[in-house]
Amino acid sequence: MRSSILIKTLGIPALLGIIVILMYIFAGQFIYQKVTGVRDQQELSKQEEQNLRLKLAVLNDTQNTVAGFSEDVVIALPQSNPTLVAFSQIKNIALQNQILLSNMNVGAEIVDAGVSKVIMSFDADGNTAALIAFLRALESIAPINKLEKLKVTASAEAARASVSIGFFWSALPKQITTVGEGVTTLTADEQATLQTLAGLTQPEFSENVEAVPATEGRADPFTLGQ
Amino acid sequence: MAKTNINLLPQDLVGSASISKAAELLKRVAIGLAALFVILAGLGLALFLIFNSDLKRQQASVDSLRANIRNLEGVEQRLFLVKDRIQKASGVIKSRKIEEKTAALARVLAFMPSGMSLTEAELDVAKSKLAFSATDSSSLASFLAQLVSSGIYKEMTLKNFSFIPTSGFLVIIEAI
Repeated sequence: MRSSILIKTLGIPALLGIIVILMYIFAGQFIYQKVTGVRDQQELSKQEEQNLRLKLAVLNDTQNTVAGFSEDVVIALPQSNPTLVAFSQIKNIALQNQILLSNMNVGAEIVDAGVSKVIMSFDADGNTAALIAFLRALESIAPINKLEKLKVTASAEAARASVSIGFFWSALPKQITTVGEGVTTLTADEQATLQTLAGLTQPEFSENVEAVPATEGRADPFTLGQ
Repeated sequence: MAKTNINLLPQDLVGSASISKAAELLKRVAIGLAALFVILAGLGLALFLIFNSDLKRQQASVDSLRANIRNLEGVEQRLFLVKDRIQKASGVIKSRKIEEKTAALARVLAFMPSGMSLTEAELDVAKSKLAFSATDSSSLASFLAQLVSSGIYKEMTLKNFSFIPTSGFLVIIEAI
């Protein structure tokens, strides 16, 4: 009889206490998770917003500067074998320096780390000073090139250079970054290289590349212009 | 006259005073905690609504930025292309060695005296092999002195030094 009175007296307050504790455990946890979840999302969104602002600033900044060099860089490092353009360029600077070319040979394509090259070899005849001027002018022509081997033989009347020179090309990029991915502007080194490439003597004819609206997934963003 | 409490219940049906007090205390604590919970839950809800509203505002801003970036897709493509070409071309430019040696040869020829001439130059990635002829010893001596003092080459090795009465001196130098 006494225990039933105890249950009657303490039962309701104890039940109330248990309900409150359960409320703290379950409902409190639910509310806490909701608040921290939305807070985490907010942090992520804030970070994304900052990245996008930065990217937009870089794009706005490069709109009138770097992007304008896209044709120059493609002429400097074309997307396909530039043998014909290279031959025309060599012939032009040979004419300018009164150099006679002979024994022109073109080797097979060599691929190394995403960049292909073709080695052209020829003999160049002229006086020593003109020959040296011609050889030095080779590095300032587009497409970009590199002397592979050079032998000069000279006499009192004339000089001959046997030249092996590599001309380079590389396929255009197939994919660009996603919208959310960041882009960076050019570093000082990259700026210097860009100036070098833009300063190369342009050929009389070349292939033009123009940007086209990206397809879904932003793949294959470049196409050969007409 | 003193007030007296009259309890007509039998003694075994009356709860003790301490149990009643404990029950009352438990009830008050439970009600207090429940009230605190309501306040905390309200605060949590308020925070949720504030954060959610901020999130929506940020997401609208993100969407707008994304749209602006999409409008500049052409610029991004060109920037990407420029960077790709620069990265590949700089590798080629940095690997140019014979060009440096040709420039060095041009500097050597610039101070070559009239009595001397270049007869052969073989340039490769590692070294330059240069052959000069001289009609008289004084021009050869002044040329070699200038070549050494110019600092154009870090290291020079005299590979051949000969004299032919009909053509004069022949000097072959290997330079790095």
